Amino acid sequence: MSQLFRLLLYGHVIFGVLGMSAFYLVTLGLFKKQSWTGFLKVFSALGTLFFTTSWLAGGYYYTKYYGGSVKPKIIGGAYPWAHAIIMEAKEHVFLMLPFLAFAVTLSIFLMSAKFAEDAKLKKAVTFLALTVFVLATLIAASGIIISGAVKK
Amino acid sequence: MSEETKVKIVHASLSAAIMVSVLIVAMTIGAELMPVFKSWLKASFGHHWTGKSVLSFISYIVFFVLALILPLGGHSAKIATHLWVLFWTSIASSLAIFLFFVYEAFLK
Repeated sequence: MSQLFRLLLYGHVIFGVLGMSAFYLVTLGLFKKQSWTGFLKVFSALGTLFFTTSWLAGGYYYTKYYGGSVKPKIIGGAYPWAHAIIMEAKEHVFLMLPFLAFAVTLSIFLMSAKFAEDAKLKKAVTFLALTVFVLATLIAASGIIISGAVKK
Repeated sequence: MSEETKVKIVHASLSAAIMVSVLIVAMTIGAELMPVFKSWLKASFGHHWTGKSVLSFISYIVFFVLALILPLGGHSAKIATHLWVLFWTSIASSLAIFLFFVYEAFLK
């Protein structure tokens, strides 16, 4: 693997984990009775930026390197389902993540002034942020399974 | 920024995200079931995944602008409902994609 693809793969993983961690903090912040709006704004915006960066880095690696060099090893290995199910699902579910994260971020930036008086609104934003965190966690776990399948 | 404008922008972002989630499922399953569509994505964008990414991004912008322009329910009280619709759409879309590939791998 060339230095460029190695860097892109590391960038994809690191920014993905940073985005996941940012949305973990946002979800925790939203679950609090009195959320600190500045904290929510900073970490939701950072999380969206991290996911988008991870998307671009992972996308370039996937389209230029994975298909020709990694996929054949998994398909011919002990766990072909790691590509056929896990990778296929991961690469397509990941497409939704930046849009979901951006929706949460915009809701926090423009509607958080209403959170104290509108519990229904805050609860809905909280559960959407939780969904972003859970999907990001499942995508990260998928990456671990795929990496493991390459070595077998 | 007025309250009405804020509500309209959030409403537009939620509507666009809902539409794009459904579009991603349609493109993902459509590309597997219709090789012609997958070939077109590859021929037009260099890779089918790049094609889906670009089309998702462009569609998001289009849906966002349309939702801003069209007089469609940009009411403050409806934002929570819209958030829940996006919540369920994202879960249903993720499950649909995962179960489709399980079907393709083991049951087809």
